[in-house]
Amino acid sequence: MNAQLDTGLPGGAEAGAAEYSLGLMPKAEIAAFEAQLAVDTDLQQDVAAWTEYFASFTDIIPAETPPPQVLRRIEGQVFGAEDRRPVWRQVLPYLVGAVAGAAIAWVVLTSGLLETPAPTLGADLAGAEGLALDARFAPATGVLTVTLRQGDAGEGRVLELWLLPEDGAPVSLALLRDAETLVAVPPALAERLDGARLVVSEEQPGGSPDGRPSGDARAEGVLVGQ
Amino acid sequence: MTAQDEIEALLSQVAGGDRGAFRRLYAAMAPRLYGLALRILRDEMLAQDILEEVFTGVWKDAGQYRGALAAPETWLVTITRDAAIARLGVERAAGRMAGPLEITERLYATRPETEDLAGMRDEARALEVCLRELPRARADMLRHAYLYGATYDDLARSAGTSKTALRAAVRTDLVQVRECLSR
Repeated sequence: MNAQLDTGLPGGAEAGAAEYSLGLMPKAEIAAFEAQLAVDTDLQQDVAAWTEYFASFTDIIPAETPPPQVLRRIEGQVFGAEDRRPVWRQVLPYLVGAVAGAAIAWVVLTSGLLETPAPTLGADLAGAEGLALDARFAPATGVLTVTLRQGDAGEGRVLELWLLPEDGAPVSLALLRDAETLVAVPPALAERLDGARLVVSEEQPGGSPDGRPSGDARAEGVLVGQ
Repeated sequence: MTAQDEIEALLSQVAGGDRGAFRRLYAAMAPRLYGLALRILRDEMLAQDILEEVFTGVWKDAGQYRGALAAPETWLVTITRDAAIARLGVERAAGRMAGPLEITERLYATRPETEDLAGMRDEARALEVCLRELPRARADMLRHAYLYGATYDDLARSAGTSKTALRAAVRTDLVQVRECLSR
């Protein structure tokens, strides 16, 4: 077999596959290992298995919602180059919203949001204590965008968004930790969004402990066609 | 459809240039990948760069995903981990970030507790059970290599032993873990 296995080290190719997957293999040995990997299906399976196992080290790392501008930057990069429509035609429908001119220009340049079909469902969520949010659902992408307009959770608390179907238990959609939260709505749920009631509750930091909104709703609204 | 199938379906739609699928994939996976990049890099701006790098790469290369060799989430996690570790290496080489073993609490922050085992998926639990057959410090070395990009040099320095001896021990451990995982 190849040179890196003749180092007198224990474990042979099997240990090599694990070292490679862990990122422990010394740089000088990687090229020889990869040459072997390219032609050795057993070794490929070994690397695949180790990769799967070691990736599970990351399971206990908590997910974090990235700030919304990251998606805008990414879309600007990947879709931006492909846009060929005149900018004014892309912008026009969005001028309807009460958005400052400067902000619009920035969105045009960087977001790629212009390619999104107009959101066809929307809800303004409001509550007695001044909390205000809006939710826009784009059926084409299945993404519900929730924007916090005013107010916030209490100190050490978090806002949680719920879908309250006419019949059945509340469905938790997301913890609203940022000014803007994107929720990928599963297709089965997406079909039930028209006319659905959205409720925002205030919860302990990890979210509702019992899968139901705690206390009184901080804000609520109904998703309707726009 | 399982979450796994869904990610896989999204990847194949993304490979076909489907922007809606790309946004759904982002909404589904970005929090996990961002959490991972943040854990490795401990810096929001760097972690955001990694997310950008990963998803721009996914838009271009989704067609390269091969379902037979890796679960779709694993593929994305691995790309993100590799990109974050590479960036960590760059930051360390430039002296902008400390080495992997200088903050010892990291050793303890990533090890699951016994009571967590029941809630883990099969692969994670099997690996964890098998790692517990190793000396604790050496099991931690494997976590360290994966999550913080520790090299044999780093690990040997921290353990106060020679690199050759340490590598022989780790390779023996890896074979033992593999046997345990095959049981």
